[in-house]
Amino acid sequence: MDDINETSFVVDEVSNVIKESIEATIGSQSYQQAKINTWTSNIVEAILNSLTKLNKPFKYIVSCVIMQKNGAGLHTASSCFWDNSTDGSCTVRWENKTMYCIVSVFGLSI
Amino acid sequence: MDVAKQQQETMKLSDANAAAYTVRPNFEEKFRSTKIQDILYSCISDVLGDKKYEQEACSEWTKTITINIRDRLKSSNMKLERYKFIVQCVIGENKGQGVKYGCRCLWDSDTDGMAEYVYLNESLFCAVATFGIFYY
Repeated sequence: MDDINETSFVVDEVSNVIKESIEATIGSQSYQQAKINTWTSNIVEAILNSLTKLNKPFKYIVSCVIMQKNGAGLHTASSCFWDNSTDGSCTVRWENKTMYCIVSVFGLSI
Repeated sequence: MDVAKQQQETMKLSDANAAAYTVRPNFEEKFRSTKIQDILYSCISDVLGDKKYEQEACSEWTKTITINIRDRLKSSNMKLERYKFIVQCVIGENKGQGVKYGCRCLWDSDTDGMAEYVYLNESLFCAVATFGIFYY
């Protein structure tokens, strides 16, 4: 039973990691053009660091989109060619009064 | 004498096996960003062309773009059989708002790679990122 945990992508764990990183970086902030570069980098790097600490045999891709709220629409989609039994992805949508943030993490087993 | 012959036999066997499984891609088999960008550009222009942003149609467009790109990568003549692919597409309405799309990867930089393309017209923007991960 331990094997399943060790060598396949666990969505809940990763989803928590993502939510914590977003809250820590932009939880209480309003959209600011000058800071947005730093925010995306910080969110993505924090998530990647936390994922590495899980010590699993995975390669990770973390992507983050931050968009200002002004009534415009946004759609994202992703398509993957991988091994369904071991690889997986997790996408978290977060918003506050001034911006939307969508983070996707893809984990591919080595 | 027997020992020497046995050793020679084992060497021959291991050479044959060594040629069978590669853990690093050759140059022709590598994920090359510039070549993949051509595929990204043609798939996006096929679907979006000169279209305007429409809420219902956009969700179909994102799915079609990602599926088309993934299928073209699988069936391309670029010898990418050892690669796993992830294609992500973001389409948004162009209303003067600020958007930032960033990504970080933990991978083997010798073998893995990324290709991206951003398409912009007056009513929408479309950003596509494709990642290729080598499977050992």
